Amino acid sequence: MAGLRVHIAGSARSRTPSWADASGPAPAEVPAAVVEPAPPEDSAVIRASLREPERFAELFDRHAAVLHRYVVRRLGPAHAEDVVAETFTRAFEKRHRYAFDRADALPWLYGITTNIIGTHRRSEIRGYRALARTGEDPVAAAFDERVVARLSASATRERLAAALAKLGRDQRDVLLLIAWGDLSYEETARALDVPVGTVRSRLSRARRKIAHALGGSNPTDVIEEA
Amino acid sequence: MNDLDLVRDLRSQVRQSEAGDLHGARRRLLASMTPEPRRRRLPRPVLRVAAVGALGITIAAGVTVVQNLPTAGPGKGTASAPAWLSVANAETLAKRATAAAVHQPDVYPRDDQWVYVKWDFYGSSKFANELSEKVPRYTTELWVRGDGKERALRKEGSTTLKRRAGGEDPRLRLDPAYLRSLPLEPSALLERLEKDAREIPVPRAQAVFIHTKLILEQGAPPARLRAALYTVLSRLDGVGVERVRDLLDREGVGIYMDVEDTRREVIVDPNTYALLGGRTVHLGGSPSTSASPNGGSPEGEVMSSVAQVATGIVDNAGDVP
Repeated sequence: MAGLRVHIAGSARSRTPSWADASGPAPAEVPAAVVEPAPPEDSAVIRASLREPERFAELFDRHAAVLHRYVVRRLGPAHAEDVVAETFTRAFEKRHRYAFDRADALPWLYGITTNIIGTHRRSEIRGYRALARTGEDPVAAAFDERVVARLSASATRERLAAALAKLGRDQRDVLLLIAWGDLSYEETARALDVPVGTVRSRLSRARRKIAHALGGSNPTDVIEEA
Repeated sequence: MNDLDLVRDLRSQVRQSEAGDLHGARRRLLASMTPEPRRRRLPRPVLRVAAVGALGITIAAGVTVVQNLPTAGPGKGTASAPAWLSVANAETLAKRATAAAVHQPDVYPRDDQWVYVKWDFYGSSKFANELSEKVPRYTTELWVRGDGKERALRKEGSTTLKRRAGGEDPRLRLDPAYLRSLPLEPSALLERLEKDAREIPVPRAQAVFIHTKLILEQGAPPARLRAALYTVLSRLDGVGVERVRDLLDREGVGIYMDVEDTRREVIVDPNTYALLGGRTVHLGGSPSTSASPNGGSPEGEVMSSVAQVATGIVDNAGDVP
């Protein structure tokens, strides 16, 4: 396109190589005033996305990786990306109903993810049972084959997996949101849209069953964590 | 270690998720943001144009066109009222392109395959310079390797390929590897293009327009990225649309940006939203004695025009789809 080159060639030649983009002042030279302001809270991003829908992608970039790993741990990698995509698609559709007084949207997203995981619970239970039966974890191995070498057979792990498979859905959701999702009781309650008291009771029951499966007959071994 | 710690430890070996695990999910989210075509009542002026167009009556395209220029060369400035609904602005066109692209798969070549682009070029002799070809109109075929490491060019009448490692300017990236690295979310894409075009010594919006036009014309981006690029163009200051016919007399919508006495234009098929080509048009206004090299040239003169003839993916440079 010779005609185009007439307009552009000079400017294109004057470009610096792309690797030069990374150059810049050393961190010590950056004045404090240049330090970027804190990113907007999730709630502000969601509110902004009501006018500019594409802003919702910021929420994806913040939380998708954490949710993805959580789904991988529960279902394995085969469904994880689908579940995350569905989570954010549903969240986007109902973003106008978000409780904007809650700055952190992660519990809300975990709640949506949990609902979607519920539709795959047979697959989830099959994974725990396979681990309990064989001592090999198809989930971890499928996501990262190097994991196989790091895992050694463990009777405790197998019993734990068997116990998870036997838990009711509600109890398993609470237990794993707290243990794997690192949510607090309040956040878990918000995620599942139940009272905090319900979270406590479900967790308590789940932990008693786990402790029993592990051979701990004394219920007082179960220490409640805030 | 209590029971809760044991649960925490289970499957803790699962590695951290990475961006590569989530490309598809992000793409699906962005696609879900595409609004359905609006069915609300159109503003009155546009409705009138649509109604008249539907009746098949030829009208002067003036309502949705900011400025139509009579053109004296290949690629006419004004098309008769088409059967399709008029496009009020570039944003509307971009939204429709985005909606149409949702269900189209992104097809990129493998690293060892090539993107093939064939175009017709016209350059007015009135604006020729030492870099111009001797003939005003000719066909060119371009192959760009998937990994961007090589390009090949064949001019009309030639049987040999001119190969260049890394392209004519390795820093001016248009190759599939580069296209794949571009975000599909328009705000992020604009930010990235501003960065990539920042060394072009013209105002920022103009630099993005030039860079985007080149990507569209020579990079043959897949439908979703193409639509995102249209969206970026639509958000630049000073961008408008007009109905035009391209070098091959195909009817299209021109997304243009005027800078001084020159209009740069990207021409889009209003039905498929594929790229038809592009033009640069002399707007006039520069006296013959002015410093502008285009001074004294007739208003509306097409300085150059490009029509995309074919694109595809092939296994070897020299192959055609």
